[in-house]
Amino acid sequence: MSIPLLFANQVNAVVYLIPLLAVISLVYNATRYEIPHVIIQRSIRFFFTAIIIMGVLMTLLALLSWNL
Amino acid sequence: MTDSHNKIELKNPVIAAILAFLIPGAGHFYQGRTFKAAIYCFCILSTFFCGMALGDWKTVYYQSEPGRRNLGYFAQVGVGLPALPALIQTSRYNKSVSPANLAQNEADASYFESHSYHGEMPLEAPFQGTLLDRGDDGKNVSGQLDGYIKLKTVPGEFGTEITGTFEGTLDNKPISTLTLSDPVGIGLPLGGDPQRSLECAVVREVNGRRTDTGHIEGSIPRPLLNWFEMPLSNRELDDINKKLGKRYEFAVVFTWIAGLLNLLVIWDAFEGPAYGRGDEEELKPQDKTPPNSKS
Repeated sequence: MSIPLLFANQVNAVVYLIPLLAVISLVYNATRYEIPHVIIQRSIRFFFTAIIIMGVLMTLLALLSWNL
Repeated sequence: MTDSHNKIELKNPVIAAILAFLIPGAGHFYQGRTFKAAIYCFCILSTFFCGMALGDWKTVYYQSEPGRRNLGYFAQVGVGLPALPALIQTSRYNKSVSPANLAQNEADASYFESHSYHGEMPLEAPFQGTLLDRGDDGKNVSGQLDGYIKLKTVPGEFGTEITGTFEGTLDNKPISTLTLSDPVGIGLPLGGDPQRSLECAVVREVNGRRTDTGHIEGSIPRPLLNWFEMPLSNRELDDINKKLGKRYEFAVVFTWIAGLLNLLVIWDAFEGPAYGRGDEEELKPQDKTPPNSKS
């Protein structure tokens, strides 16, 4: 399967994962901090960190499955 | 116990934890931590109900039969009240299916057979399904039925028989009333699907004799209490996986995550956060800086 097709196949998954990740980051950070603006700041940072890590992993897996 | 415990008014932590379990955010609302209560209530309940809706409201159920137990329910039940009806529904379901039928679950033998639906007669319900019949002129008639079905028991030659009528449309065109008769098959009154299967024979007068000329096959609706969070049979599970595919898996994961997140929330209500007011991680280095460091 070509790389564009491989990515297109994963679009549905991403649509579900993004709001899920937003919820996880918000709830997780709310359980760790008490002050609202700290919760929001930490959640945003957590969300984007997770997005970057997942993006790197996805790219890595896509490269590893090249021509499979 | 964290330092934050002393800085945040947790009221009675046990009551707060119980409330947090029953309704996400309720424990924090009780403690006066309304911002967090709003976050938890919105995020966890919306994740849980989105998961249920994505999975056609068939993602949360507890299957207690040996060999078919679904451990995922123990994650879902963390959400509290929204997932608890599944326990009651499982108990009702197990009572409605005899142990003899439970032993044959692999083949889903309980689907039609061995169910004494005669006790439910007379039965009147909206019906949707298909017709395969031979008309009065001898030609085959088939199509989509949509209408109302009425069934009742009558004393017959060999005991109690079921007879009834169907009134409605065939392929959106009105048709004359169909006469229905045994053999009748009706799905269990309790099941994971909002639709309950029903099939029965269509009979006509041919040469002065009542003859079985075809059959109808479709479904009648189940009341909400008879399908909501009810265990799915193998057949229903196969159907939902076939219909939704990967989406069903995502839906189930949504409900698991909602339940697991609420465990963190319960702990937060009981014990307070890791970093309370004024002792956040980023403030620690400043706190440790000596007051005369500028000099």
